[in-house]
Amino acid sequence: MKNKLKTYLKNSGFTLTVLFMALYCCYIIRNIDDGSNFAFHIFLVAVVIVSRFTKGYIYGFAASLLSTIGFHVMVNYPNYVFRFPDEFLSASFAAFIIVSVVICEQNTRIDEYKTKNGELVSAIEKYKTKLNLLRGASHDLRTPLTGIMGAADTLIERGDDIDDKARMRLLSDTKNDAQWLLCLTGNILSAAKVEDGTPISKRPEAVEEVAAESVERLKKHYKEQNITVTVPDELLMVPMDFVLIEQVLINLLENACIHSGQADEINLKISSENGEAVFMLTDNGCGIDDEVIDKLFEEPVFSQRSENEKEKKRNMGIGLYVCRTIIEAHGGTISAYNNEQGGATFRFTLPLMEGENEIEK
Amino acid sequence: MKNNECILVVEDDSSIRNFICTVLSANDYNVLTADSAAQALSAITSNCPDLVLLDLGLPDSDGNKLIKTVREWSLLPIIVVSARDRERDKVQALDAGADDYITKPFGTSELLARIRTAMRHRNNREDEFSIQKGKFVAGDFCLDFDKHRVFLGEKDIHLTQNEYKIVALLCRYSGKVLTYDYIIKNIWGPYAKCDNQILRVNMANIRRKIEKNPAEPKYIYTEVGVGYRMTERD
Repeated sequence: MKNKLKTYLKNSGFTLTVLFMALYCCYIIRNIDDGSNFAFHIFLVAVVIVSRFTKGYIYGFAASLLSTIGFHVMVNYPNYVFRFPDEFLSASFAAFIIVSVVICEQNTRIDEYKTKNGELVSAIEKYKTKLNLLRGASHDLRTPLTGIMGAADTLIERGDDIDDKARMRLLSDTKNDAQWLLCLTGNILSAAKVEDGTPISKRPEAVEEVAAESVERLKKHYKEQNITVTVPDELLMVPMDFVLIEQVLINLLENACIHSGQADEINLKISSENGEAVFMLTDNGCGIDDEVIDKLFEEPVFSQRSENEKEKKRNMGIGLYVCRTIIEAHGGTISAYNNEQGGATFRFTLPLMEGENEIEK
Repeated sequence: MKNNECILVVEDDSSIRNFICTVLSANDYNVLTADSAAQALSAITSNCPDLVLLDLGLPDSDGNKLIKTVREWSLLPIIVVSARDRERDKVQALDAGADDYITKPFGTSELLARIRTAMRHRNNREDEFSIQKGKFVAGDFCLDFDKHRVFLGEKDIHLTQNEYKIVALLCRYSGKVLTYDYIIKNIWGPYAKCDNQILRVNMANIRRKIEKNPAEPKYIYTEVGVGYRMTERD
């Protein structure tokens, strides 16, 4: 309401100022323009300016009306005689009105284009992010594929010349590469599922079951890793798409296994606070570099896997970006920080309450 | 060890088929292959395999239809192979009569374990229709079917009647995944509303009684979105 009044006052003030200036101009050039021949042109310009720079038709209309009067006053100066109806007066009024209406219509059209343009720009932005994701993913897919193809080629062509130890190494590298590809495709699929715009389908799931399955799946590949899970004594049911939340948990757990630099303790603690389920994943590893901690979830980070320890720590792939996308699609939040006693903590929340229609009947 | 049992592998992707066949042959199973539902059906009728490994995404027909067709006249064990994040497909396949499922990508040991479980259940199939007797033992866990009692080591665990029924049902089909729907119909009767919330609550209580940490179960595993599976007996 306040805003409306403000624009109203602003537009009215603008209209009056312009018209007053037109009047003043006419008054000044009276010295050289004896019969007020230019008055019509000056007022026409005033109407054009007002119509163009105010919102809606009303100010253009008011300006036309006032200009007609002003113009009339100027022409008849100093004998103020009003005669109604007057053909001359009506003709000038009609001209002002037509000009103002045409310009106002253009204004609305320009506004429409502007909003459309805005939508287009944001769509292009989204498309660019997607392209980046795709480009990065293809790039990251290619590296392990090269490894796999190379190993297979070597085994097919020179298999007989290679000793058993080298052969086993090639094969286990192949398996690791494939494992990595599997993890990457899981993330790409999840990102596609969340970002295609359709709302995710949430069902109430027991957090202990989702946590248990995530840990179990992770332990298939990290057999020695020590992971402790703590869940509330009461059964905690949270509305979620469990495949996606499992992806988040696995990403975070895997992160802790790979990037924490041999954390020997990983703790996953799930609790319920203020209408939210809180998942805390704590490790006692090397923590997160200060330079990357703020940008962890911001955008997909792609870089080639590297043997360099420092580089390796930085490459968290698209995992964390996907985590953020998933958690935000659930209406939750995700954050990361370093612990005082060393290591890092990743924390995310999921709302416990959901609209009735979203919960499975 | 000589298995001599015949397994039909229905899979349209040749490299996956190759890998499965190689593993199975190396473990002394006889292997038949089919790359479409039509081929599979004719192989099942003419060769009578002992077990079918069925990929759900076949080019010519839905795998679930094939399961239903086969189930009209045969109790032949069927293990479904499905892609991840297709939980509904798995549940449908299990409800249609598949014995078990395995998710792509899978390891060879997992595949072989599932096959052994399904084979064992086929051998015990006749017993399953009679009243279960004796004991189910897995690690410290022991369920006495005769006395209707559950023990964890020496400790006598007090379960409510429904809790006992759920655990006994899972023990009876140990190693096999039972869908929520199947368990609910077995415990609360065929007209029970398919509300798996009540089952979850019961399961949470059971876990708090028999598992050390309900989030790291050793006996009853969750197949999220599908159902529950009891660990294999010793």
